[in-house]
Amino acid sequence: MPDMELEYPLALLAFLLLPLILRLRQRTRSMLPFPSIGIHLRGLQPGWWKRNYDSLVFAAVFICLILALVNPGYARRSVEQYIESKWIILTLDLSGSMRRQVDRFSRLTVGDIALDGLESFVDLRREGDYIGLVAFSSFARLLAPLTSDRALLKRKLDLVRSQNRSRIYRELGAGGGTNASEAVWLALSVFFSMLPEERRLTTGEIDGLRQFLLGEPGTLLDIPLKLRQTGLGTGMAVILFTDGRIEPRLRAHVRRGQLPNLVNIIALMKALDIRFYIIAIGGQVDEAVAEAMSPIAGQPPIGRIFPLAKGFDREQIQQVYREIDTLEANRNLIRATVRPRWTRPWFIAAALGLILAGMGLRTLPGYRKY
Amino acid sequence: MKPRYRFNIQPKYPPHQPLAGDWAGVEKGTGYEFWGLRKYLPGDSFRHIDWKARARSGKLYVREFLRDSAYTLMLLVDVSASMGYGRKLPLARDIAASLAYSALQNSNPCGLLLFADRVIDYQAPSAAARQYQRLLGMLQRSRPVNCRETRLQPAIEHLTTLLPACLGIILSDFHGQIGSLTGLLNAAASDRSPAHEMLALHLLEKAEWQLPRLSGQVPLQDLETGEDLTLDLAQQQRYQVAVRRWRQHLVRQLAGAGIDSTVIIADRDNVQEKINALFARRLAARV
Repeated sequence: MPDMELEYPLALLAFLLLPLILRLRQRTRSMLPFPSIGIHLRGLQPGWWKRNYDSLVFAAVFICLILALVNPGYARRSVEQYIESKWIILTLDLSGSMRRQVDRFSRLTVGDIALDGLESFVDLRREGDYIGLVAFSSFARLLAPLTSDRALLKRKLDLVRSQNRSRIYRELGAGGGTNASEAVWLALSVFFSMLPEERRLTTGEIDGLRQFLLGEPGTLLDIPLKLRQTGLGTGMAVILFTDGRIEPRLRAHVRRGQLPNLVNIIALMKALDIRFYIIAIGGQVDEAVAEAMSPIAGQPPIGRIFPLAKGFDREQIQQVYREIDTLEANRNLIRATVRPRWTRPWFIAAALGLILAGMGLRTLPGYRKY
Repeated sequence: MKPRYRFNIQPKYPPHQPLAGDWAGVEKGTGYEFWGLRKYLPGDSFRHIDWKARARSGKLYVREFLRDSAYTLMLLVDVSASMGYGRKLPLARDIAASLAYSALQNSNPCGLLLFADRVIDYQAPSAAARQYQRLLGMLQRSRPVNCRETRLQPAIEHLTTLLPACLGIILSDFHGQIGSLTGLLNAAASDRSPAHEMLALHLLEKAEWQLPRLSGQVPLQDLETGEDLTLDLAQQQRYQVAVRRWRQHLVRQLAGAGIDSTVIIADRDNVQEKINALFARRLAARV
């Protein structure tokens, strides 16, 4: 917004009517017929102010009302410092391989250890951060939308612990496969759903993005203008924890051709500036994925791959999450906002005040008009 | 219809009317007003010989008398737009009708002239029996004329042209140009008495004479010129002073042309007394 703006500038033309209205008002004023107004009465006229105060008040009220209609506005800039709020979605692999026991003497599974690591990460983040949970195997499920409620997140994490045997845990376990790309796409969809109403993507736009993800890598990516203007992606991150092989797409689903290509997803995240961290148990990362994750010359990296040995322990996983926490540290930001201030209420109040003042003046003995 | 007022019309100067009447004229003739003695001439009536003068002087003298005459009353009624304000025109009608009645009752001819910025209507003077009804009808039909100003001069000129002598009474509010009245002075029949003896009655509404006791402002519009003016009602005293001064100025201007005048305020009960007092005052001033 420029420093000064008029909402309805054409209404200023109404000022041209003011002399006409004043003239008309003077001509149509009721006059008392009198036999003669001779020169001997000229000296008995009231002063200029007393004679014209009602016309002046009328003109002032008219001007105020026209200005209220025009509604001039000015920009008010405010600068504030704030700590960046991160939006992070944790995607957890709960396929069959994650259900193996840590050792022969323990009932804990690898998934439980991973969940402990997630809990420690949730505790590490500051209060203002929003965290969401996605669990996946052959398919992906949203465990918790983006929330800052830590207790809720922990309750959701408890749902998928092996000892609880919850329904969602059993369903995910039945899938068996590792569909990481679908999980990451679901995480991105959660981000899209957090857009404001007027900038939310239509089903057509989402379908367009989906078609790009389903295509071969290298397809031209067309990001909707709404996403570009919103600046979606800044301060957002997706953390993928899996023990399966990270491939562009699962071989089992190639024939159906309905799964997003992870390389395309990474390309989309790069375009949107969403950070992506992969914790790969066993370190089996496909070359195409690793290449997609590698930074382009002159640009910051999209994220990082953390390979872990299959025999990882709780301390190792927590160390990885601490590193991610460090990488995703909340920045101190400065936000400069420009808010338009419209002056219509002031002018309406001024007009009302003038009307009341005029009525008050008319009640005074010297200002009364017959 | 009986008139509302009873006036005692008394001309200040002897009338020049050749008709016989109740007033001593300015010429010698048959009458009751003694004029003087002159030497007897052959052919004079013996009835006019003054025997006492014969006894004193031993010569024959005869008595001469002023001829009895009647005055011609001419009523000049203003019917301009300003006379339509309040009850001024009805008052003028009442006064004119009463004056005509008084004159005609004593067999004095009476006429009527309505004027505004020009002569509107004219009824020649007459002492006929139906003259009163004619004048009354003319007065009843008179309405305020929509004119831009009031001018007395055309009416006076009209009067002096048509009538060699008369007693004229002007009923007007005198809001307007009085103009030059030299024609009136030139028409003087002799050095002793003017041919056209004029009086003026200033008819005013109460609000013109005195403002109502209110405060504030009142926008006024002149009934004739259409000019407007906002009057401050708080200045009542100044208003009265200004109006009285202006009226005095008019009275002096009229007096300069030999027109005596008095101010009559409508809605007051002293109309008859004021007009009769004016006649009496003029008569007293003659002596």
